[in-house]
Amino acid sequence: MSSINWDSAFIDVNYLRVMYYLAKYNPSIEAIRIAKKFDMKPNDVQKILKNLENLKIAEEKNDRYTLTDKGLMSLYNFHVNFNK
Amino acid sequence: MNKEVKALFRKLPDKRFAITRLEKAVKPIESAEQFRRKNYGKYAVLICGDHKGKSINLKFLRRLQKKLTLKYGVTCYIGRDFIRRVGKARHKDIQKAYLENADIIIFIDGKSTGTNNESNEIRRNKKLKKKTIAFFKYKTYSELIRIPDNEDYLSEFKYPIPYRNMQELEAKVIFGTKHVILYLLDKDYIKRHKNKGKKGNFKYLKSFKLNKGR
Repeated sequence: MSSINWDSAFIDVNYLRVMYYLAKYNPSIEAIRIAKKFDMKPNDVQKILKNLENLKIAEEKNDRYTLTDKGLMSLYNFHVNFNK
Repeated sequence: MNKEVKALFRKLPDKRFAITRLEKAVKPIESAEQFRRKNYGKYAVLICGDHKGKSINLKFLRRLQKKLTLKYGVTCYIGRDFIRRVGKARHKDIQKAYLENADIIIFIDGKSTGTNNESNEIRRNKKLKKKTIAFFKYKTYSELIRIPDNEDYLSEFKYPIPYRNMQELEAKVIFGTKHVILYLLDKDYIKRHKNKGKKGNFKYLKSFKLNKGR
């Protein structure tokens, strides 16, 4: 899973699942919790979260992740336009 | 940030973001670029204006913020939210917070001390001024024509936007916000693609030069 740009993150199903999970269970989620929930490899989830952090869609504090305001509003735009 | 948006996701059942549902949602999106122009949330907008004025007040600012957030998907704050986040009200801290966290500043001309201070902070800082859309009120055309001669501070903004009434102000703020966000999204897209193009040209020129040498 290589690095990704802001727009591509919103057409990648795995990134979207992680963002939706963070939006619903905000704030401070550990990667392992998401991996268990979606039956994904913890390393893959960690990479997604790191990429989201680099894009400033999510922020990390003590290995726990939260969507930023911009991340949450971008997901809201995706949700309203494509997934409502 | 708007409580309604957070509540919407909190109430969303897990099946609404199941993999099959998301695959269906993503399928009609032909490219990432299609989402790009719908993403009004990518840039943070800060609204500054009087909190206790007769028509421009906290109630008006909150209503505008709510509309921009829920109806148009804009990441929107009012000045007070930013100051609370910083936790301090020193001018330097406020200026730093505005510089770091706001991509677009909507400044509505006002009479209160707070708004005047904000106006000073913005005008004193080149970077802040550059990302500000300033709005000011007028009553008649003849007054509008005289304003550049009478109001010194307005001439410090490159393109201040005039309005006559609240309805016009609201429409112009929404138009201005949407316009600048789309402008920034396009600018970012062109920049990314220009860099890709440059790499391509370089490769082409390199092979051309090699062939020429043979």
